[in-house]
Amino acid sequence: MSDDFLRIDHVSKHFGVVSAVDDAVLSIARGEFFALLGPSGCGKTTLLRMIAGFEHPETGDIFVEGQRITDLPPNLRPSNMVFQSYAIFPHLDVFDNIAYGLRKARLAKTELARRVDEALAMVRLEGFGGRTSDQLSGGQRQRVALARALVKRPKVLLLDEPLGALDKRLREAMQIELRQLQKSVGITFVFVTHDQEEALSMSDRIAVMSGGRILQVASPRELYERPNCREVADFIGEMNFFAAGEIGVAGLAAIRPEKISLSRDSGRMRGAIASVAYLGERSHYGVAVAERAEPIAVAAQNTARNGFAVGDTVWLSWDAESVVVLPD
Amino acid sequence: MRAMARWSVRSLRRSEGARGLALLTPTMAIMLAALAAPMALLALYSFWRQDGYALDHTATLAQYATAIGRETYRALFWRSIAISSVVTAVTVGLAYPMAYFVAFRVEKTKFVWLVLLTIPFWTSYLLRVFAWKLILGYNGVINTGLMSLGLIHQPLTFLLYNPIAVVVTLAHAWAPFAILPIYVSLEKIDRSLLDAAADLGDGPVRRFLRVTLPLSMPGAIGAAVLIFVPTTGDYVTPALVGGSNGVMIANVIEEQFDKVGNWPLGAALALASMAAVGVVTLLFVSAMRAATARIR
Amino acid sequence: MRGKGLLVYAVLYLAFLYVPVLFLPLFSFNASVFIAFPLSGFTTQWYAQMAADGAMLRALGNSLEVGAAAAAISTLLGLLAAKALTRYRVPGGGAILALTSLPLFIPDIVLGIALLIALTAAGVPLSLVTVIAGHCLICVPFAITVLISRFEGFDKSLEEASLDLGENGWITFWRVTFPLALPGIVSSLLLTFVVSFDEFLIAYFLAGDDATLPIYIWGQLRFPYKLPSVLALGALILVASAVLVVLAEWVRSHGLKARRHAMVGA
Repeated sequence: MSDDFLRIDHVSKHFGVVSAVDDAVLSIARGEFFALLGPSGCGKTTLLRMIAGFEHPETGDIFVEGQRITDLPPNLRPSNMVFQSYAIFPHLDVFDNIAYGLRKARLAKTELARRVDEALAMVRLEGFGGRTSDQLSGGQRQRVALARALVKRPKVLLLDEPLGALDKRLREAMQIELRQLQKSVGITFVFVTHDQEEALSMSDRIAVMSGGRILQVASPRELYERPNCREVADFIGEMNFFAAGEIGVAGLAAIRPEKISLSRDSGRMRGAIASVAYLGERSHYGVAVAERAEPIAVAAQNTARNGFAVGDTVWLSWDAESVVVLPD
Repeated sequence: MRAMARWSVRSLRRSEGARGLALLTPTMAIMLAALAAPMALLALYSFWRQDGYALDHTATLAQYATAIGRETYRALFWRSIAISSVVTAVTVGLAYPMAYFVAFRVEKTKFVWLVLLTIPFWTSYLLRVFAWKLILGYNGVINTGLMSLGLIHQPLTFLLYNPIAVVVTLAHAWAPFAILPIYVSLEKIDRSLLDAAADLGDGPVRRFLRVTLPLSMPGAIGAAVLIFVPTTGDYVTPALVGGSNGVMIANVIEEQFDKVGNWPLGAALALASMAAVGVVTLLFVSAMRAATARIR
Repeated sequence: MRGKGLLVYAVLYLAFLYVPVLFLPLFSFNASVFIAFPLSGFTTQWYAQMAADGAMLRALGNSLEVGAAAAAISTLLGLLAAKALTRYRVPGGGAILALTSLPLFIPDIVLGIALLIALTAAGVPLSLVTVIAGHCLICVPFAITVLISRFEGFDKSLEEASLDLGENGWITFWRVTFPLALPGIVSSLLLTFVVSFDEFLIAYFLAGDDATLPIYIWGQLRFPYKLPSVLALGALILVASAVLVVLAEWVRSHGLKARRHAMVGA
């Protein structure tokens, strides 16, 4: 993943005294499904809007395929955006919405219709051309927004929390669909979300942001297994943190709940079950341990044998490789 | 069990509607009495005849025949509609950029601008018309001002007592009526739609023509109707600044009730002009809607 | 740089709106009976003359009475209608709303003569009372518009919460509905008052021997030597209206703040 298809070069922006984006450096490859992940206010949307052209960086540059696009207005950029609110034009039907960006090209009527139908088929909305915005469900509107952006065959597709307004089941279905769509179309996707599960399941690589800074850029697996700092470790999935010396490691240590196993007989550390959350195929236990304010989170698969109840004494154990050492 | 629940829900809804209707009744009754009854009487009068000092109640179309048939009245209808059309076009045309400015170019002081724009509306309409009479008159502000500056040596006579004076005065008086509806519809436009249009390739002008304009059309059309209909029936302005060339239909109607004493004819003139204005308005609104729907 | 053009336009437009109106106060201080340039010097004599004009003061009093009555009645009617249309699903509510707005779309001249005909046919003598009736007809649509927008922004669950907490309907009205609707009521009163105060044509048709202020002014416009004192009156009306408008807007936005507090949870 070394071609600098989309390159963000030391980009910064302030709003008043607040630093929205602080010296961001990023290199995204062609055809990558890339996520900008972080809590609200971390700067991910600002960064996305700078790529789209709706915000202008104070310092730094943005390049697409080597071409500097920093000063280009949004309508001249090789990117297209799917907005968080979808921004479907209410005075146009679905066909005209999708065709909107193609009008300038003055295509022949048949060619235009072909392109629009092709886009509709891509998002599985065949036959919806005559509908208007108020006749569409949230999920359908999202797909129209997608089709509208994709029909222009941009070099980069930008998506601003596109699944936020959908209910859980629809969201999960759309995650798979988006991923498949991206693979079939081959366009570079840059995707903003605050939902780390979503980012992990869909992306090739993720940039975790906080307070305007990019904390770590890595594949989902690497982010999960080898976070490079406490913030990333805390944000992605659930994590148990141990102060220096607590488990015999010099420095801040962290272990994932599912990497800790429970036994009635033996282990490295002894504790008592403080809470049980039964989740069907797994249970989440909170284990209270002496000299530790916060219970240790343990995720264990439920088998016929291992049901623990509140108050039970248990032993915790883990592999050495499961321990992640973090800088303070 | 389910039947009982359904019945109680239905009766709840019925009583809700009934309670609502009960609250509405006083207002509705009064509005009906104050509006429907007089309008019905007006219609009746238009079919009667004035016989000396008495009213002849035999139904006749004579008044309408006069109202539509007489050349002078017909010309007056058209002149009133023409003047109001120009006033509407000018007022809405001038108000749109102003409303656009407050909606899109002003961030924190929108309130101030809106208040400033509506204050003139709250002064006496009579006095505003009168102010224009002072401004446009032979010895008025413009003439004496230009003369004292040495720019002209004879007062300009074309300023007052003609349709142009009526148009200028009415456009000035009705400006706030145009601004507010247009402003509201511009303000309601989802800004992300404009971002989307830019993202899809439109520069600022195309974006305005393809998104902002069609979405603000309902407000502009509403403003146009709000101005056109009442100005056709305006009395004060043509009376004060219109002269004999700027007479409008309302002046003639008023005459029937004042000097002439022919109430049935006045009624017929009033209803005939309302019908004409109604037709023109409907045609205008459908034409504008059709034109707007064609914007892609 | 592109934006500046529109700003220049906006300023010019504002000037176009205000300059004709500002000639009124300008010439009300001018020491000459003739409304013409060049200016002749400063004087307050016209204001004194106006203050001494008995007929004018009587007309002013009449207008204040008529305005207050029309404002009160139309706001009350508007309140009932607004509450009914926003709180309850009334069958045909949309049509009813359109019906009540009808007076706005009928030219004043037509309304004036129709009311004159009706009152004459009913044998009702023309007086300030008939003027009040006519003004209510055109003020109610304004009142309904203002009050509906107030009620629509109103969280219904506030009233429900009050009922749930044990207060009966009447107390709920006094402690919850009324205070929150109050800014809207005040706004409606101010708006309808100004509409009535300024209204000329319908009053002209429906007034008996007592003149309202616009009728009085209309009568004075034929006498050139009375013009400057009419201008003095106009200038005062201008200032008073401006104050009222700002007041109405302040009340409205202050009411919005109170509502926001109420919605967040006072």
